[in-house]
Amino acid sequence: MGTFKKGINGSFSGKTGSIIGSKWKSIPYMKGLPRLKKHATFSEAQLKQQEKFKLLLDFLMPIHRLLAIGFRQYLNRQTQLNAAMKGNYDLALYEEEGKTYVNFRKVQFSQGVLFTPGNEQAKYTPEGIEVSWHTKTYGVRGDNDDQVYIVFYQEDEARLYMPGSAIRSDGHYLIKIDKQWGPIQHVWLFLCSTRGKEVSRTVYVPITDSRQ
Amino acid sequence: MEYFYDGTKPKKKEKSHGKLVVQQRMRLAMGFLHPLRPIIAETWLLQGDGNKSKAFGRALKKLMQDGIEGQYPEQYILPDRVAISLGLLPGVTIEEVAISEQLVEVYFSSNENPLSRNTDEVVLIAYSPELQMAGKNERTYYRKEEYLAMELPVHFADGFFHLYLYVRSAKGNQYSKSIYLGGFEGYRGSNRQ
Repeated sequence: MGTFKKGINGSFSGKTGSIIGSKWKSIPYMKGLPRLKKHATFSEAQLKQQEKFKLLLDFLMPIHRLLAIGFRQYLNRQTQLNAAMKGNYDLALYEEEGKTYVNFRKVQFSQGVLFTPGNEQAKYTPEGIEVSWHTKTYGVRGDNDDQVYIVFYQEDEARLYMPGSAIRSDGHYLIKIDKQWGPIQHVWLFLCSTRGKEVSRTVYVPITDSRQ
Repeated sequence: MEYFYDGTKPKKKEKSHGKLVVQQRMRLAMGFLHPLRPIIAETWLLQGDGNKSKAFGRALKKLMQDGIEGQYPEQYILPDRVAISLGLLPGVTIEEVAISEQLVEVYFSSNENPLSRNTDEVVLIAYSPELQMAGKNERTYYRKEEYLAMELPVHFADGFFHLYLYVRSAKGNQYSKSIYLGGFEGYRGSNRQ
């Protein structure tokens, strides 16, 4: 699909013959009518590409509202899912024996320059999972009232959840585990300034079990 | 006139060598200075005629001109030539830098100068380009104290970081040229200066 620069008459919208004009996020588009292929066959490379897209999209979809915070600065000409797909496609997927998997340690739900708190830890406690972090800000790119967003992945449901948020100076957050849930496998966190202008990159927090 | 274009199609025309060299310099300089933007917005403000964006541009230009060595495609930044701050305020003479785990201590002296005041503040910046993180001393230290201490960010324990020091007037409208104190490894690594 091509975009076009405004000519002397500007952009147009609606159907003119077999061409449709439309606008999305201030980008004028000119599209042809769809040509349906009833028995389309895809090459192996195309199928691989489709598999990768589906895997990543299904993974990110449950928290797409949170992605709007994490990728806010990139949303002028794309949706948060577009931005997250772009940020994770090369980074967070890997292949093993011909199958594609998500590399959980490298997943990014945000991209930015706000400083991460450091010393991030997560451990199982009888009440749930306690996520903790360092509260000092060191005077550059970080404030005590920065929002800390926590995301976890639940293996049984194969789904991401966002239980809530805390502020940097809290230093910890308790994820209360619902009895119906299976084990939580992965936890991440990222920070966002109070005005929402700056975000940090996402930090993967390994979980330790202190119940034994 | 061409109204139609395909954004995914690579441009056929190859970029000139000069353009590639400058683009790489720009990328390196931007990557190095961007995490320090809030600091540079203050320390270069006078050079930027009071405009934060212009101040950052001036710092970027200075780094591209003086702080990058090597031939394309192996150009690199010399951290000792990076100016975190710039100005006419007299700096200090570094006597000793001591690092013990998370604590940095700097001993310095200052010569008599009509432009310097005892109340000038001394600021220490610890910066890790790899981690894209920086920290500065939280307590205010003055020129007359001839000593400064700072707790390093916890992230730096495993990484490599640079130390810069500059002096600012009490009003915050005059700055000295920054002094490079060296590159150090976090306490989980070994010191290398």
